[in-house]
Amino acid sequence: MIDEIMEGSMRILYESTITSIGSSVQGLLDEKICIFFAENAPEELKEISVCHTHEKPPWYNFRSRDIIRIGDQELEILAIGKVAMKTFKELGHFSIKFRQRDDIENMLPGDVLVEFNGNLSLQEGMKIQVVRI
Amino acid sequence: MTKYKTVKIERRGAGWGGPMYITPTAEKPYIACCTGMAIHKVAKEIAKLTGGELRDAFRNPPPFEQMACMVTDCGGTARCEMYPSKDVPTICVFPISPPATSKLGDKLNDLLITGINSPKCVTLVEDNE
Repeated sequence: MIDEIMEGSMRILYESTITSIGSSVQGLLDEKICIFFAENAPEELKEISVCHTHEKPPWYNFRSRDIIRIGDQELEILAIGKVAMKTFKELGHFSIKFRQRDDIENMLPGDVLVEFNGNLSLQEGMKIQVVRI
Repeated sequence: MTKYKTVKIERRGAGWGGPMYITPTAEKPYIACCTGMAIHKVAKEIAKLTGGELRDAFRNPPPFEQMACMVTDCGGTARCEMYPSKDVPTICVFPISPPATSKLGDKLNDLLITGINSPKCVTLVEDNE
């Protein structure tokens, strides 16, 4: 079982593929929030979420400075809330907050705070990876 | 005459809101639970005491209008906003505070309680009749 794939000095900690983008996702992106759930989530959560395959939970907990890649976009993790890894492992659920909106002091326990400048582009079929450099 | 009983749900430590009273009815029989791989012990306790029916709301969700309440392990953003927005009384096991920016405002006072991580937070309300 390969849970970690080495690519040069970069380790891939997690991989999945976007399966659907809910109707409320763009509105949340405008508020600098992006919510993820596994594709078997109920409809009401799909509406607000980017759903992804989430076939296998990550072997390692993510940490700050790991990179979330969505397509060819790179989001650097600045901080991870206390319960974020639990809900990610079990439900494929992340609430990503972009730093423009929140700083570390007012993070919620489920938040993953990231640095990303520009407008996140999302499409069905895009690969999601979490990598450690 | 009804087979359902009422429980009081209150915090025993950190958290937000409450107390909350839950009484399932024939129209709203389900104690829904959206907490990862397993049904949370708080949801089991609510179902046991009230006579409501447990449902995994992630894998087999009942309609909102049939939920007596929802137990969730929301980290603060998605589910603690979603379920109250559908008028479902929502019980979060983590002691989060709703963001001041929540569009639901005062509605959350009636529909959200957080920090309910133990069955000891759930007590039966005795019928005085």
